[in-house]
Amino acid sequence: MVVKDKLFKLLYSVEKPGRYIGNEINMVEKDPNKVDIRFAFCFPDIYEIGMSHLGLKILYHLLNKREDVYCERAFMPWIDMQEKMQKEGIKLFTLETFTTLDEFDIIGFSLSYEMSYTNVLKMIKLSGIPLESKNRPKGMPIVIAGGPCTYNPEPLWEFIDVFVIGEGEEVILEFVDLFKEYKFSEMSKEEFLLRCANIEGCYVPSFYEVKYNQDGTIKAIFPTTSQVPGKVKKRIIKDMDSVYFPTKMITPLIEVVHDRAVVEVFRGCGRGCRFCQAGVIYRPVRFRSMGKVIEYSKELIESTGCNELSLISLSTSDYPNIETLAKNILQFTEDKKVNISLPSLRLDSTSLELLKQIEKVRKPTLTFAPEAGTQKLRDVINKNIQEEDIYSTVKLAFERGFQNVKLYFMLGLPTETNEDIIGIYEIARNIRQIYSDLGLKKRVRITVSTSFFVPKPHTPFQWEPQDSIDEMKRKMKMLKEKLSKIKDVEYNWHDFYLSKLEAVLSRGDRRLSAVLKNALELGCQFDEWGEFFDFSKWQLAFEKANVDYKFYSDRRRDFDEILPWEMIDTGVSKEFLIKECKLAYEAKPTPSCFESCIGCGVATFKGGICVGKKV
Amino acid sequence: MLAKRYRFYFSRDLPSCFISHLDMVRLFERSFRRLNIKLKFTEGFNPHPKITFILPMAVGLCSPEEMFEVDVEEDLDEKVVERLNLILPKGLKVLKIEEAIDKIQVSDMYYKCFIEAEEDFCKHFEEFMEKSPKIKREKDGKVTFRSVWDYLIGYECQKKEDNIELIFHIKVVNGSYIKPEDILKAFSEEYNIEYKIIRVEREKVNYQRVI
Ligand code: SF4
Repeated sequence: MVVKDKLFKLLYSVEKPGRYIGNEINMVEKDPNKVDIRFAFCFPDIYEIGMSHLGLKILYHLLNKREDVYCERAFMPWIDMQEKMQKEGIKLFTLETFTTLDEFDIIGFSLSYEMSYTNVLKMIKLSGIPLESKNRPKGMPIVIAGGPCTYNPEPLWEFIDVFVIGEGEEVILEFVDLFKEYKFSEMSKEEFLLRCANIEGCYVPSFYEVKYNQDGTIKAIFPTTSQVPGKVKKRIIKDMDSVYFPTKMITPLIEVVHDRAVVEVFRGCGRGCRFCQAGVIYRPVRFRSMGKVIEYSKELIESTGCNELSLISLSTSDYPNIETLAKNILQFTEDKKVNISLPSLRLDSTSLELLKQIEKVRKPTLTFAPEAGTQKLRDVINKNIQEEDIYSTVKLAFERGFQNVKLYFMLGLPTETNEDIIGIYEIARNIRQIYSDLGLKKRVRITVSTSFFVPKPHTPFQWEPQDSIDEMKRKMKMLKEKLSKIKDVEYNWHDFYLSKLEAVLSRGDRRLSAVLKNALELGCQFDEWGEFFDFSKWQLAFEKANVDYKFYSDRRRDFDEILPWEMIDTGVSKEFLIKECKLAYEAKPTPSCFESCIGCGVATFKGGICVGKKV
Repeated sequence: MLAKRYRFYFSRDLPSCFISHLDMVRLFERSFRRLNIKLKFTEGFNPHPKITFILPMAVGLCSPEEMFEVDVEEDLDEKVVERLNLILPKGLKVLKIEEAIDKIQVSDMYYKCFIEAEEDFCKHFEEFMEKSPKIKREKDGKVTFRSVWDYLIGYECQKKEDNIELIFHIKVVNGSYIKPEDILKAFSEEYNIEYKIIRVEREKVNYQRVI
C-alpha cells in the first residue's frame, strides 16, 4: 500500500482532494488476489466529469458482476496533483485499491470527445507504460478504447491495441473471455489481437494498412491478412429491457457535474439531424419499457439516495407517453423529495405543462436549440423546429413566470448566408418583443450561444468543409454586433480554435498520431478546458509532424474519396448519407423514423423501431 | 407533522475526511433517504432538509467526535446508528444519537496538527506566537485582522519522530473562531518557512448549554 500512504499525505496540499479517495457509495470492493483479471477503466478527464458519465458506471458494474474480474477506475489527475505525483514518484493509480495502472491486465479508455485525446496519451504516460501498442509486449497491459469517438479511431491507432465499436455491454464480456484465455496460455499477443479482430465490433488497427495518394488523400485501406474482416461492424444492444442495468450504482461523495441518479429511457434518435453524429451511430431507436424505467428509477433512488432523478435520452419528448411515465414516477419521488429532470425535452405547450408538474427549480430556464436562424437553413440541417412553436411556448412560459431563455445555434453550417445569421438575431429580438408586449415587470434574460459547425464522420455532412478561422470570426462579430442592439440579450460563442482542432481530430487519419505525440511533448493536456488550450502549441505539433491541419478541417471532400473511417460500419449506408447530403443542398427535410422508415440501412440490425418495436 | 430534532454524534477519519462541508450535508441527506427516514424539509421552491453541523468541518479534518442536528418527521431510536453505519462510507461512523431538547454551543476545542518541516520549526513558531500575531481575513472584499490570542487558550509545538506535532486549544468567541491552518499559514508567510500538513485532527470539542 505504498501508493496509498504516500498519496494520503499529499491530499492536504491539493485542490479538491475528494477526487482521489474513491470510497464512494456502492463502490465495488474485491480482493484483487482472488480475481483472474484486473481491469482499469479510465476516463480521460477529471473525476467530476468522468463520474457524471453513465456509460462508465454501466460498464464498471457489468464487469464487476463477474467474479473473475475486478474493474477499478482511474481519472486524469488535475495539474497540481500531477506535479505532486511526479515529485513523489507516484504513477497513475485506481481509486478502488490505489494500484498503479501498469499492474493491470487491461486498461480501458472511454472516448467521449476528441478534445480528450491528449489526456488519453498523458494517462498512458502517467501509468509508466510505453505509449505505442507495438512497444507493449505480452505481460504489459492491453489498452482498449470505446465510446463515440471510436467511430473514427485512426488518430489514436498507434496507442490503442483494440477499439470497441458501438455499444460495449456485450462486446466487453466476450473480449474479457478471450483475454483470460490469452493470459493463462502461451498465446502470443499477435494471436490474441488476431482473435480480437474476429470478435464482432472489435477493430484492431495493427491488422489494417492505409495507402495514400500524392495529394494526401487516401488511396486504399485494407486488412493486412485475410484472417480479419474488411469492415468492422458496430455492435448494438437489440433489446433495452434485457440488457444489464446497474441499479446499485456507484455514487460520488463529492459534487460532480451531473450529481443525480440516471435512467436511460431509450437509446438512439430517430430525428435525423444532418449534422449530428449521435443521431447516426446510436441508430436505431430502442425504447426501454415504462415498467423497466419505473423499476430502475425506484431502485436507484433507494440505493443512491440522490435527490434528483434524470430520465435521459437524445430526445426525451419522443418517448411515447412521457406524461404517463412522469406521473407514475412522481408517485414515489414526491414523497421522498426527489426531483425529476428531463433533459433534451423539446419545449412546447404540453411539455411545459409537464415541466411545471415535475421540475422544481428556483429560476426556471427555457432552453431551445433551433441550431439555425432561418427555416431554410433548418430544412438544410433537417432540424424540425418551427419558429411559431418557439414563440408560443415562450409567451406561455413568460406568463407563468419564467425569466430566462437560452438559445443554442450553430454558425458555419453548409449553405449558410448572412441572412441566416441575421435570422438568429431576429429570433432573439422577437422573443424580447414578446416579453415587452406582455408588459411584465420582472427582468428577462435571453442568452444566445453559438458553436461552430464541426463536420463529423458518418454524418451526411462528413464531406463538408469547416469555415476558416477568419470566416468564423467574421460571422461571430457580425452576430455580436447585431445582438448588442437588443436589451437583455447576452451572447456567448465557442472558441474558434477549439472548434478548429475538434474538426481536425474528428476527421483525422493515422498521420495525426504523430501530431498527438508532439502535442503531448509540448505539454498539451486538458485542451477542452480552454484555460490550458494553446493553439500555437498545436500549430507547432502539426508543423513538426509535417501536417497541414487545414487539409482535415477546411477541405471539401468528393463523395468518392476514401475517408479514413471507411472500415467502420455503422449500419447506415453511404448511399443514404449521400442522398441526405444532396437533400440538404435542396433544403428538403426528411421525415423522422417515427413517421416513416426512410431506409437508412440500420434495419439490418433487426432492433428497435426499424422492426416495429414500440414501448 | 411536527418535527423532532436529533443530534447525531459521529467520527470522521481517512479517507472520508477529504470531503467538504457541503458534501457531508449531501451525504447524510442521501443516507437518510436510503434508509427511508423522513426528514423535515424547508418550504418553498427548493426544499432542503434541515441538517446543521454545529461546527462545519474543513476538508481534511479528522475527528473522534463531531455533531450535527437534523429535523426528522418521525421518532428515532438507537437502531438508526447501526443502520447508518452499514451504509456510510469508510471513515465515517455514527457514535450515538440523542434528542435535542435544549440548545448547545461550542465553547472550546483542541486541535492536533501533524506537519513535515525543518528541525527548528518549533523554535521559530514559538517566536512568532510571542509577538501577538494577527490573522488577515478577506470576506466579501473586506479585509479584517484578528488577533490570534483572542481565540487561543494555549498551544504546544514539539518534534515527534519524523514529524512535528502541534496542539492548539481554541476558544469560540461570539460564534467565531480561528483555524490552526490559518495560524500556520500566517506564520509561514511571515517567516518564509515551508511546511507540509499531513494530518489535522479536532481532538475534542467542548459544549456549553445555552439557556
Ligand atoms: S432503418 Fe428506417 S426506422 Fe430504422 S433507423 Fe433507419 S430510417 Fe429509422
